[in-house]
Amino acid sequence: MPKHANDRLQGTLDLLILNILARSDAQHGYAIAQRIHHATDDSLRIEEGSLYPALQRMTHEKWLRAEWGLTDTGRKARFYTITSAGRRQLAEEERRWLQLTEAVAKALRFA
Amino acid sequence: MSPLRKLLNVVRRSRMDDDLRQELETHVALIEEEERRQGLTADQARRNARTRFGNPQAYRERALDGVIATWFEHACKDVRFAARVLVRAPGFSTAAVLTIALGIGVNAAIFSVVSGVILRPLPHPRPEQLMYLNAQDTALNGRQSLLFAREYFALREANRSFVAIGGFQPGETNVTGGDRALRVRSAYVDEQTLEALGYQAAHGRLFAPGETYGRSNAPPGEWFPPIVILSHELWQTAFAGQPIVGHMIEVGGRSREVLGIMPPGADVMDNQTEIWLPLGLDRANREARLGHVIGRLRDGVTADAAQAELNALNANRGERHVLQLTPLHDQIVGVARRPIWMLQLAAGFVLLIASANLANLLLARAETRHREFAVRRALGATRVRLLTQSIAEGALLSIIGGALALWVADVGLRTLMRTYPAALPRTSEAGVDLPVLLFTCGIAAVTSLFFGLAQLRHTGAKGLAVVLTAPGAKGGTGAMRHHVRRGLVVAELALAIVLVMGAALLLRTVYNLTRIDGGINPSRLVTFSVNLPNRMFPQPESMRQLYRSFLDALRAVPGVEAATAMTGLPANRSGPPHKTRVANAQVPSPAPFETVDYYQHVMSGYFETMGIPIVRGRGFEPADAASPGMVAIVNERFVDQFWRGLDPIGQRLQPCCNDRTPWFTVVGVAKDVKQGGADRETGTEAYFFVEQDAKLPSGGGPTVPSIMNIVLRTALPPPALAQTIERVVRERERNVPVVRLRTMDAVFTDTIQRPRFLAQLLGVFASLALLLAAVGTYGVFSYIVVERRSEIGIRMALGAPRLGVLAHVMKEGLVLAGIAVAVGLAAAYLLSGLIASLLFGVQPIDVPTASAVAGTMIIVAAVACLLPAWRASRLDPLAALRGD
Repeated sequence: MPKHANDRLQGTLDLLILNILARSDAQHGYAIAQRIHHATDDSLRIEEGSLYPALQRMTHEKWLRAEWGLTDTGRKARFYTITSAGRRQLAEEERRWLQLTEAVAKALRFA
Repeated sequence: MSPLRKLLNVVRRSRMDDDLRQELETHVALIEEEERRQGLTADQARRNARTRFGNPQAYRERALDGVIATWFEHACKDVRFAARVLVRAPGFSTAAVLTIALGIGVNAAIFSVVSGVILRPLPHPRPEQLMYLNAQDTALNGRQSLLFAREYFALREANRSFVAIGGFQPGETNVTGGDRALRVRSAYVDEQTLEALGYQAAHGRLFAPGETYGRSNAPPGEWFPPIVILSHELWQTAFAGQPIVGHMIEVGGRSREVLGIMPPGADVMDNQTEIWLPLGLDRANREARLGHVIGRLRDGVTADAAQAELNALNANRGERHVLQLTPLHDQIVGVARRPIWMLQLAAGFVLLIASANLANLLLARAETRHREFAVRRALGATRVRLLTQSIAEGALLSIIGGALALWVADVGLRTLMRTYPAALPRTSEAGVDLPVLLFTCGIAAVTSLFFGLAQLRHTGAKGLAVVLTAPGAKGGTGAMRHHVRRGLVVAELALAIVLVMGAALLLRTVYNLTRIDGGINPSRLVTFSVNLPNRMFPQPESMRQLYRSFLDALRAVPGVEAATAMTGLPANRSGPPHKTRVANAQVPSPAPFETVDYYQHVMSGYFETMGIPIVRGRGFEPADAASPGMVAIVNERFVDQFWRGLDPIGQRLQPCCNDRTPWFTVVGVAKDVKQGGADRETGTEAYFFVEQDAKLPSGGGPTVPSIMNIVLRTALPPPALAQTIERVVRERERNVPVVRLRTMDAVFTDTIQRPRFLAQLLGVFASLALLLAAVGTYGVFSYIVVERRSEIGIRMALGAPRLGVLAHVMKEGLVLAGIAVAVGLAAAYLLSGLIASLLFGVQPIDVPTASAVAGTMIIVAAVACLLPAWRASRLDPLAALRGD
């Protein structure tokens, strides 16, 4: 979906989701939100209004696979796992992110 | 996303939506669980969870929008919602629907005419190959003329460009079907005409090659071969669709064999043909002439190539006539094209005014719905969603309005065509058809889009807080919006001025045409026509006697003061000029003869009955019938053209050009009669006396005409006379129908049918435009007054007199009207070229008309502003200042 390539915020959310799923088993949406929340020391809050559209879209792009399962408390939920296309996307997003942060850091040093 | 994918998504929509809803519910439930773990009560946990989560519906929509074509579901919802919104505002909805119906209806009606007359191809196969061959007479400075039969036959043999070239002559004849004599429209054609038009017989056969030739040395009644082809329609009505092919029927007083039946709707050049007769050209008769010539181009031959060939053929032969090709369609539509487009333009103006009114309505409504939109936006509706909803409202109004418009168009069109059947060609083919439907749908679609956008225009970026806290909570009241409104008022009034101006000019045209002295006194004149078939009256003398006996019987009818008969009914005569030798012509023509525009053969009492004064000499007298010297009477124009400065009495003329034809001595000069119609030049005219014609040998010049128009001077209306006349005629000749019984006034009115049609239609448009513009102006000023209530309140509180407030509002209205008058007159000036050729006796830029129109518009605008202004002056300052 090339129209999102330059959308940094969008890309950031994708990056975070892919990263979490790459390092864990299948997760449901709520758990993904919680993980992002904890991993960033509560400094990044993922709005549900962005999370589910993102999951939907990434599943559609075949970066994620979604399956219905049960949570620990017995609730029906959709569990997401990363696909190999997702891993490639993750590498790409990571590279871009580093590029961007490096570039911003440079700019800040020399400005 | 590929269209297929989109489609699949629509199908899978409900499952995916369920998934997502379930997922979101789980999410809320999980938040709730967590909150509970932290020790909150179930209620608090649930409330917190909901607050933290927000509006799941909005998330779902945002999640789905990217993936799924939600538009279908939305569309259904939008329409339902729109219907509720519109039902809740019945005043607005009714006004909007009526405005749309009028605006579109007027356009659909006129577009039906454009479509049926101009756009729709002729109902023949490959109609673009059909050409009309205009003959221009080189001896008469290229004047429109008629081809000689020998030229026609030569052309048919020599040309390589045409598959078929055929002649056509329109006419009328009597058909006896059952026990009743009917007058029917006939088309005299040859086999190639039918081939060119692409017709095949529905029953029996059509004319065969050579079958349509006539024998000019035969007695008059046997000139034409005794064969006919019936139209499907005549076959059905007169012969009840019985098998008739091969049978003999009575046509023009002679028994003829029915060769075949045409397919339904078959016609040539909009002639409304009921019966097809052989053209009857005689190859041996070199001087015979042809009415119309139609050709079909060979496949692959262009009109230009064919024209080049015709030019080359003509250069080789040096014939009298040059042939000019015109596409048959253009020839039929002719000069009607311009008025039709003019009407479409006028209808477009009405639509623009209606749109301006609609925009006004919407602006006012957008203000009141400001809050609603802001709240919905704050609750998570996307702008696209609001827009589609708004468009749905527009679509609903447009569909209802459009359907109403089609009805308006259909009824309007029928009424028009019934009132003015002959004002335009091909109108029998006009109707609400597919192109008209598409056209209407197109306008309706644009209207609904326009509606949606206009309604949302001002609801854009402003946040909820701004809207809800704005003074009066009405949303913005910026100067900008006032400018838009004032602009709309000026546009409406200016467009209305252009239309009223056009209507006024056409009305003056009609008035001028009716005021013209046609040369006769048409009041209390009743006329009808009889056609005596040559076959039954081989002797001119027997025809003369029959005419005389008709007239004698009619003169004896109580209430009839006078009766006479003539060949050509004034005011709608046309046809080729007559070659005439004029002795002592002062300006000799290059040809060995002169041309006289009209010949008129009359019975006794003609000039007295018609009220045509004899200005010099005398009229025809009964004694002339017996005297051996042939006499003629000419009109003033004739004297002016040929015998200027001479005493016309005693001069001589000879109808061309045959040694057996006697010379006629002029005994009198009659006042000019506008034989060709009020708007035509008066032509030169020679009168002959039927009583004398009867004495001439066959082939020796004028003969007793077989078609006569009988005229009665009487105060009785035609319906009261119909039975008496029918009886008088039937008692003397059973096979002769009485046709076209009407008053002479009606004859004159008919000749100006097109100007009257245009004036009336444009008058209707102009009235609509005036009404709409007045309503629009009133609406805008009412709104401005309401909006400026507090300002007016302050003024009044500070001591402004009520009259001053009234004057203030009125002034604003009149300034706008003034601008509109300037703009409208300028536009009318620019468009004057379009209407110029349709006018008579008035210039397109006419100061009195323009002043009257400008005055009318100012008065209309003033009246429209008066009520709002008066209301403003009655405001209670206290109530106004206290606000809502």
